[in-house]
Amino acid sequence: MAERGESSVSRGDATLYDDIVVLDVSSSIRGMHCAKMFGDYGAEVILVEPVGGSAARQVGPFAAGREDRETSLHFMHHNRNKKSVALNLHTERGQELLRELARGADLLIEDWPVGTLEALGLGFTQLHALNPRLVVCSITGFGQSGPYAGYKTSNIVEDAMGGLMGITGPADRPPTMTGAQQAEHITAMHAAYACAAALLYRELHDEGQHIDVSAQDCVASVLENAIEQYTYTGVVRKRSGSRHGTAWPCTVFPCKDGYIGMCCTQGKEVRAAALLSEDFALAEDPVLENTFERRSRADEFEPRLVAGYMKYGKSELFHKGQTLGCPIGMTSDARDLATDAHLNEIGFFGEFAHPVIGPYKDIAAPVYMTATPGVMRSAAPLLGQHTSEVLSRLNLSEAELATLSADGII
Amino acid sequence: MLKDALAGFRCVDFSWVFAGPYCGQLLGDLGMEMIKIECRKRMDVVRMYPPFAFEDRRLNSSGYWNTHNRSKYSINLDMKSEKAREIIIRLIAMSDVVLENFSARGMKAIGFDYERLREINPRIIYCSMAGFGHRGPYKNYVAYGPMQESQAGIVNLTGWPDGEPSRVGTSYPDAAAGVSAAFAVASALRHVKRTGQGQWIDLGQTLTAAALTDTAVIEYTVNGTIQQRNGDSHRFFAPHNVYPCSGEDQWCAISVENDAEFAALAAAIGQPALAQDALYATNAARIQHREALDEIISAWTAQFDHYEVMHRLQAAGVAAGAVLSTGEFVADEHVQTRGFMEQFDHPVVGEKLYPGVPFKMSQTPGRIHRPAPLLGADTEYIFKTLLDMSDEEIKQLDDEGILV
Repeated sequence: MAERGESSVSRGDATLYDDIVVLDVSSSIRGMHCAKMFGDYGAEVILVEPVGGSAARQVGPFAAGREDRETSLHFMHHNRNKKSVALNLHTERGQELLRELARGADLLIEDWPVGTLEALGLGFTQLHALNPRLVVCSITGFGQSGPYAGYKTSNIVEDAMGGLMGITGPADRPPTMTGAQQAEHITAMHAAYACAAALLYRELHDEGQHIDVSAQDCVASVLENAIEQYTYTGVVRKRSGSRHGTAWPCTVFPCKDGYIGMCCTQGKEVRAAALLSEDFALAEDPVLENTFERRSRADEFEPRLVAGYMKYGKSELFHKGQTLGCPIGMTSDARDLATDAHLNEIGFFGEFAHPVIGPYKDIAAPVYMTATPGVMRSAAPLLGQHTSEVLSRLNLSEAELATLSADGII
Repeated sequence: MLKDALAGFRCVDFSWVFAGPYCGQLLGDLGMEMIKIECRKRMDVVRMYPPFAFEDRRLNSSGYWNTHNRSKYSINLDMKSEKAREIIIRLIAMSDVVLENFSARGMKAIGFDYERLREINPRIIYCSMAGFGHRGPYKNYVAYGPMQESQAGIVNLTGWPDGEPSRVGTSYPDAAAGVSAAFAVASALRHVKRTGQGQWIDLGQTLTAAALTDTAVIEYTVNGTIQQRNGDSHRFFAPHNVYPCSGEDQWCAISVENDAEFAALAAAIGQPALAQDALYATNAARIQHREALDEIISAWTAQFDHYEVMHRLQAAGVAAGAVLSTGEFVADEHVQTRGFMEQFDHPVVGEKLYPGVPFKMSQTPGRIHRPAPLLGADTEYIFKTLLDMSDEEIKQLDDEGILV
C-alpha cells in the first residue's frame, strides 16, 4: 500500500519492550492476555508453569482429534511469543528459583488467589525487597482487599458482578453473558495499560510498584453511561436486546444469510439505511430527520427495513451500505474474520508454526504502532521448553538442573 | 504528596464521543495533562447525550460526558480559523501526545496529518483511532461502536443459540479501543523516552475489538470450526449458568470447572450425593445432563436472595456472583469498601458518584484529578499558563470569534 502519508512514517525495526523481561505466573485469560500484550510488542515473556503444565493447557478447544497438554488452542492463543519454564512453586527450591528469576525481571504478572503467593514467600513485598524496580501486577476477580477479596471468579461471575450482564441480552431471557469472555479480556487490557504506565514511571523514577487489578471494577468501568444513568437519574437500566437506547436504527438485523449490525446517528445515515433496503418511500420520508420521532416509530419501520435486507447477504449489504454512507457492519463469524480482505491486508493476522500443530494463522498484535510494530516470533511454547535455557542464566550447572528435574522441582 | 504515573506528560486531545475520551480518561486519571479541543460550533456531541442531571438537558449536565471527560481541561478553539491552527501548533510543539478518533479523513481535513505533526514536533506520539484504521480497503468506511461489535465478531458469539445474536449492553468496542489506545500511548511514551523516537499509533477500533474474540479465529484456522453463541452455558464446563433467585428478575451466576468444586456445590445446596451420582460425577456427565442439573440448582437458588446465594456458595469455595444492577453495584459493600466509586463536585451538576480507576497502583494511585470541564472553561488558564498570553491577546482572539 503506497498511501500518502504512510510512506513518510519511520518504520524502524525497533520493538517497544525488547529490554523487558516479564514473568507470567498466571493461567487465566486476564493474566495470560495481559502478558501476551508485552510479548506481542517484543518483551521476553517467561511463562512459569507447574511441572505438570499450566491449568490453561487443559482448557478447550483442542486441535481436532488430539487432546493433550500441547494441543489446547486456548493455551496456544494466549501464550504465543512466550517461553515456558516448568517450575514447582510448592517446593522451597522452586520458590528460591522464582525469586532468583524475579531479581532479573522487570514485570511479574499473577492471578493467584489473594494471599497464596505471599504464603509461598513470593508476594509483592517479598519480591520488592529483592528487586525494588520490579513491577508486580496482581489480577483477580475482586482485587486484593475488601470483603470479596477471597471470592472465586470466572468470566460469567465478572460479567455479573461488574454490572454488564444485567444490561446484556433480550428482555425476555435471563441476563446474557458476553461472547468470547469479554470480562476477562477487558480486565487484561486494563491491567496491560496499568503495567505500561508503571514501566514508564519506573523508567523515569527507578521505582517498581504493585498493581492491584479488580475484574469487577474493570467491567464496571466500561458500562459507557449505565452507572451514570443511575447516579444522575436514579434509573436502573434493564436489558433490552440489541436496540440502542437513543439512536435508531442502531441494532442487529437479520438478512438472507445471517445478520448485520447498524448504527445510524444522523438523518443522512438513516436515509442510507432505507435506501439499502430499497424502501425508497421511507428514504424520502422527512420523519427520518427527527432523532426522537424515528426512534419512537422503530417498531413500525424495522419490519420495512428487514424486508429489504432479507433479500441480500451480509457481505453484500455491508459493502453496498458503506458505499451509500450507512454505518453498517456484518455480523462476522470466525470464517468472516479469518478471510476478511481488510484484516488480511493490514496485517491483523500472524503466521505461526507450532511443533505439534504445524503452521496456523491467528490474530497478531492488535494495534499498529508504526515505529514499533508487533512482532510474532513464536507459537506457544511446549511445556518446559525453555526451562534449561532460562535457568542456566542463574548459573545452574547441567548436573544441578538434572537433580532439580529428578526431584520434580523443574 | 500523591505521585502520578503520567505526571509531566501533556496531550492535545481532539477526541470525542466514547472511544477517544475513554482513552483520555484513563490517561488523565493517571496524571497526564489532557487538553481537550472543542468549540461551540462543534462540541463533543456527547455533551448532549443522556443521562442528564436536569430535565431541561442543559449544556454541561450530561452524565455520559462528565464521567469520561473528568481529569481533563477544555479549551474552545474554532479550528476553521488560521489563528486557531497557529495556537494548536504551539500547543503540539510543547506536548507529548496528540489523540483523536475522527474518521481516517478527519485530521487531514483540519490540516494535521502525521507528517505535519512530526514537522511541528518530531517526538510527538500521534494516536489516531479511526473505525478501521488508516490503511486497507475499509479505511474510509464509517464505523461506530455498536456496529463495529458486529463486524469484530463479538455480537455473533453473544446471545442465545435459539435466538438472534446480541449486542453487549454498552458500546463495547469503544471501550476496548480506548483501553488499547491507552496501553499503546503509555508504551510509546516509554519508547520515546528511551530512544527519542516518536511515532504514529494507527489504531483501528474494529481491530482492537476483534482482537478480543479469544479462540474464535485459531479454532477456525486449525480445526475449521466456526464457534457459535452459547447463551450462558460454557462449552467445556458444567454447571455454568445464571440461576433464578427469590427476587423479581434476580439471578446469580455460578460456574464450576472441576469435580472438587462440584462436590462443594452439591454439599452447599444440601445434596452432597450428587457428587457421586453417575449422572453428574464427572464434567463430561455434567455437560451431558446440564439441563437437569440446572433445574436442581435452580430449585435451591430460587429460595434465596441473589446475594445470599453468592455468599453461601463462595463460602463453600464455588465461583458465584450475583447479577448486579447498576444500583446494586454502586451500593455494593465490596465496591464501597474498595472505594471504586469516587465522588466529585461539578459546578453545574453538583456532587455525584462516578466509576473511578479500576486498578490500584501502590506508588502512583491514580484518581479523578478534576471534574469534567464546562465547555471552554480552561481556555484562559491554558492560554495564560502554557502560551504566556496576556489578557489583551486573549480578548482579541475572543473578539475575532476564534474562542467561540
